[in-house]
Amino acid sequence: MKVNLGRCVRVLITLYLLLALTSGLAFLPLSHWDWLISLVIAFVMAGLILLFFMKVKYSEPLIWLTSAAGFTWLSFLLLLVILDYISRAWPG
Amino acid sequence: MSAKAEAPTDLLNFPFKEAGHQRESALFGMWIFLATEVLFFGGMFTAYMVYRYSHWQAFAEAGAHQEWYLGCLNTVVLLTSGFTMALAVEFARKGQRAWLLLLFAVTWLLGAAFLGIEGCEYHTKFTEHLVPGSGFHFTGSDPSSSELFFVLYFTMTGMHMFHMFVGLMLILFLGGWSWLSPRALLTPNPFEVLGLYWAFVDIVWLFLYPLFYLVHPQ
Repeated sequence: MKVNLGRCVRVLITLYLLLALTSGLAFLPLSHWDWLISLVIAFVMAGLILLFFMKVKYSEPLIWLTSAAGFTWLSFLLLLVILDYISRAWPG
Repeated sequence: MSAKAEAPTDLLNFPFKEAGHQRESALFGMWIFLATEVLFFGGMFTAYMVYRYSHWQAFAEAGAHQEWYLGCLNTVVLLTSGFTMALAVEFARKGQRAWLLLLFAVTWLLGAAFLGIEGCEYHTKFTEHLVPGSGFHFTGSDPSSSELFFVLYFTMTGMHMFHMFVGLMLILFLGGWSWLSPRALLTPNPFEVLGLYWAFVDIVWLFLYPLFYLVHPQ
């Protein structure tokens, strides 16, 4: 099996382009939604690294599950905490 | 023939009787560790989320003091190091020591450059009195809430830098081992585990960059 240099280079170039995109978009007046756009792009970049640099794409289902576990529990934490904050009737 | 198939039995640790089983266990164990790392950083990301939601304007004012171009440069450096590390692991699996050592050297230099750039940023924060504590000085609508931004900035980037430092030490250790011992590449497991660790540290930074440098870039 050869080292797949071409695939790694394509992934790296895509990551560079996504970085340029998220940096550029931060300067546009997108109201309060710029944070969400930049985080979505960060998730896409993280996904590329997980799939190709960490080789989850070529791993067995056990690794797929384990790699998703931490992010899944973290998403519960973030979701439940922010739901509490945005659903409170703040005094004053 | 792959290094895995050639692995001699004296490289097998108890209770493994087969190299493939040992490799799967090593990778699974590392992924379990990385899941705990996600939760470790997750607590800090949760704190960031709560404070930014509660002090939106103060965080925007504090974010305007960040040098976004340095964060962007650091992201380029780190993404490139992730690429060279991924290739280094591939060459370790093939047992090609020269390529492995070259790519380890490039990865190490990029990691050190990252720490250097981050160090310059910290220095600027000190000179501008933006380090939380008695010397903190900030002109804005709510300086104490803006101070929270910098507390989170130093805590989260500091923990990330510590992880980078550990990664650099591990590269030195495994690189030195490969340099000195021809037996080092008989089993690629340590290299694969290090590759996973390095890529994870990359991923953490991908979230730190927009949260601390793109809040309100100037």
